[in-house]
Amino acid sequence: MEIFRTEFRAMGGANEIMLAAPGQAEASAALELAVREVQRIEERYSRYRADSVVSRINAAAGSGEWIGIDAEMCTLLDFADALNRQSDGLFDITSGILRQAWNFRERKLPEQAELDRLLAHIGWQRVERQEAAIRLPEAGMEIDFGGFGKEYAADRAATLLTERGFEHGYVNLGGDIRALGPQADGSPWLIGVQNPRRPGELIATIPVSQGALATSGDYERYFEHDGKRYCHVLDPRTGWPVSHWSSVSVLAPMAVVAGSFATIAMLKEQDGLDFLRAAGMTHLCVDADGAIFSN
Amino acid sequence: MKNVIKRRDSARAPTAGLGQGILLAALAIPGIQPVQAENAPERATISYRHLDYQDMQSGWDRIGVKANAVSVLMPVAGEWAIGGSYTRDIVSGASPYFHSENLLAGEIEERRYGRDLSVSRYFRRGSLTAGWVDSQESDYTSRGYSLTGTWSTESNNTTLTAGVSTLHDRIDVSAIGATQESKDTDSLMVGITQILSPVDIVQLNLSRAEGEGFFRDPYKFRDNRPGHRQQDVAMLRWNHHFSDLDGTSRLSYRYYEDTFGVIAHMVDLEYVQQLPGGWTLTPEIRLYAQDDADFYVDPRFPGVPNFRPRSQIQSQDQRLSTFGATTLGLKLAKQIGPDWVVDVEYQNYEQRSDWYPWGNGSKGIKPFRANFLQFGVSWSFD
Repeated sequence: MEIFRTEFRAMGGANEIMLAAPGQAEASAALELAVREVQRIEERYSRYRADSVVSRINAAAGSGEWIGIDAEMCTLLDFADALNRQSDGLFDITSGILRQAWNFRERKLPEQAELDRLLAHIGWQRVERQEAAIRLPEAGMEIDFGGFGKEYAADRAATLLTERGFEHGYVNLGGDIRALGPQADGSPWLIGVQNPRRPGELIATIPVSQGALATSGDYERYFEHDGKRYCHVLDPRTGWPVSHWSSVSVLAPMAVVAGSFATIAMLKEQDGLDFLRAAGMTHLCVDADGAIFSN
Repeated sequence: MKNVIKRRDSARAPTAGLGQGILLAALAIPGIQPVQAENAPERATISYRHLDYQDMQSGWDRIGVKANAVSVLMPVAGEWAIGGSYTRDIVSGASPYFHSENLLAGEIEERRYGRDLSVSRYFRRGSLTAGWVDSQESDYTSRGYSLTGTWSTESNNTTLTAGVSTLHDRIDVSAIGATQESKDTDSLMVGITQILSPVDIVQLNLSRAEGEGFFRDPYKFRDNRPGHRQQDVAMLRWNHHFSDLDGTSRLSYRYYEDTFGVIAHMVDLEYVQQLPGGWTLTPEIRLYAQDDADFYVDPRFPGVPNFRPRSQIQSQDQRLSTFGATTLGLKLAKQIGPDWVVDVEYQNYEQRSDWYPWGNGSKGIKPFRANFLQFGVSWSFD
């Protein structure tokens, strides 16, 4: 068994796949399959691609037109619905429109009136669904899978490799990792968790043999204004960024589970830790002062 | 700053609370499920158990067993596991010579040991286990081999199991004037386990054993049994997880019949409740009913054995009689840190002829009770 590694860009970030395979030919074929699966999911579900089904749903918002969706899309919407209910509305795939008010490049605080206008269009429970169709009731509403699309792609890519008999390796999409299994010698992969305040430094190394590790943090996109940090994790109720945690990492059997727990814990602010503990999730949380909480 | 967070169980499923809903919702997404086929154990485990068993019959010091057992499970190279155990026990007390009478004649003190060893190889969709078992006491030795395979479907929702085993026993029968006898038993088992929903698993196991040789009990009065016995067992289990309570019920039914004519039904229900602080509480109730062997002979007069010609197939062993029985049990376990588990279990067994639910039980057998107390500790390490 040799270790093969590929790097590629997709879903707005740098990604890698590690795979133990008997030879170059097997590894190349498998890695290509996994990368293609990630690209397929990006094409289908990205709101940045005009031809994606998500873009068509958003474009039809308020028109009354039902947009047909396939079985995969249905299960993802069901999952989004479960996350919304389980988080008392905090996890909401209609909240992505807040990015219209938050421009992290220009480092400018939005007007409250602008946020209020956008908040009126947020509300997953108002989205109308039929068996195999969906429509957004108001013009200006949008859905997007930014909340767990990357994790879903990591799970799919890893599962494809597992189904083809590969047992050792992992899929890392922008820091969200789904392991196929441990390293070939049985030892776990040591996954570094970035120090949220010192780019390039690790704050912890977490051994992962199987399952997934996902991190949500305030350091990926943010700006500082009058000494206060404004990050890209936005509370769909207020439109303002959360500030209690600088990073939340969660271990779970699947990346979609790890990622959504990490995001919900970020959104729950000081209650996030109790949420993770009550759920029995293995976690590593770093608060805004740098204090570490883990189990 | 660099911390290394030590987590061995790196992707444990959430155990309680709100998170269950998210995990269940994620499990409903096709094509991303974690591989649930049987996996090789990741950690080694050493366990020690002490068992104290005591039969009770008013006025007699009946059979008691004190057993100490050590077992080890070791993963090897990620795909293999080796397991083994060693049990040493002392059996002492009296057992009836016939029916529930004349216990002095059957008084014994006996030391036994038992060993077993198994080697498992885990594959992507299944596993193969070879086992060896051996036990010895002064007048009885036993040695056996087994081979068991499991295979899971691509979805991992269905697992098939098949196994064969063979057991060779040697019995010293100087108590009845002969020297040595033997008994050979070959068994075949097939099973299917089906995941019905994220919280329901059902399993059906069928087994048949064919035995040839010496089935008599040389310590019983005029015990003369057929030289061949076929046993058939069907066992149905249903485990259900109650997400809201974080508890699991395990219900099983077992049907047994053999060519001696014994038919038995057993229903067992236990409920495993997870409690805060790593505690687990498991109450259990088991109901058992048995219809006697064709050649079992009821006492005609209380306290007096039946005198039938020695050559006739017959037994006055109360274990072959018609009766009903209940077992009530309670088990308390505590996980201490990531590495240690301690548990204590108590069971009370009571057997009565008139508890046979479908008619009259065997006549003239005194009620019988047994207590079972077990303590265990296990340690896991990388």
